[in-house]
Amino acid sequence: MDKWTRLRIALVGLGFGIIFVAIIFRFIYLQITKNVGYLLLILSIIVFLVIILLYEFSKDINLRSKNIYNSVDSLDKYIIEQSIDELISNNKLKKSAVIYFIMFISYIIYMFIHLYYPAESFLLVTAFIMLVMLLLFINNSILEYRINKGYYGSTDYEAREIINFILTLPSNTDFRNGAAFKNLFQVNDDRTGDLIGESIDKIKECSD
Amino acid sequence: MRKDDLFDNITGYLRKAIDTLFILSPENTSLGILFGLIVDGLSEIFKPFLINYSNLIDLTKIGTMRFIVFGIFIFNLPLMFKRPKLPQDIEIALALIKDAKRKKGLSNLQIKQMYLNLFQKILNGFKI
Repeated sequence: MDKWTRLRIALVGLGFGIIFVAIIFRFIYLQITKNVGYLLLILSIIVFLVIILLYEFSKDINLRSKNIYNSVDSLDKYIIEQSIDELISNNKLKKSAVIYFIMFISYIIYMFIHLYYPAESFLLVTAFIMLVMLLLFINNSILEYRINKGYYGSTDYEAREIINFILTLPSNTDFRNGAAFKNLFQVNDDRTGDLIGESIDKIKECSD
Repeated sequence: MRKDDLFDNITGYLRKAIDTLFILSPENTSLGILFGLIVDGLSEIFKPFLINYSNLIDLTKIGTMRFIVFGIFIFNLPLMFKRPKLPQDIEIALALIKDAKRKKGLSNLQIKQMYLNLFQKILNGFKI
């Protein structure tokens, strides 16, 4: 684990801890007075901060994982071990950044509704949103751990994920040096070897 | 079982479990939550109007969590009808590897090697 990973885990853990404490305080506060008070504002600010932190970190991971070109040894390793894993994790992290953003908006909406029409289920909904984000964070961490340890792709579920990803590659991601990918299932291209050779040369040039 | 394989299996099952909790599509589920909260807010705002029909339908009795569940259901409904289907050859190959894992008791590294060969074949565009 490098410095940034440790810092990230520590910060997110701290955020969740603060929210847990704030929820308990809010609960005690509700027991004493049944009004909407300052604690609500504090809690909402903390939730906003955690959501923004998670969003920023997911962008940070995206940037860091772009350095794959420095560690290319062979084409097999490049294509399967590095590139597709990294692409999938990048894809997932981008999606999770979008999800954190949606959660942020929905929490703002819920806060406004709650300010004008106070509901009993405020704590439940806050806990639910936090749980969704925590699960996403755990999921992304597990994915990162599995890729780093080299476990990724050893189960049927993940194999299906990778194959689905290969078959539905976005059109601007080019594994075949200009040739259309989807036709390859029917057409057995004779130039495959040449194309791979060319791409090896290109990768070597890039790494130099 | 080796220690590496144990961690591999535990984290693999955890990933699958969390993905299943999100009904395989976190975006749709989170949009469903957003939709549920918006509908909840609208039902609160139009409460004075809807109270005239309260003997017919009382939306305010539903509650926020049920609105959220309803939103998640609505947004994940399209996924039921368009599940990604793999080609037949790949399905057979995956089934064979799964069978080998179950019956022959190969280690996870060997299974991963088999999957890697399969990915390589698919990437090269060969018919399996």
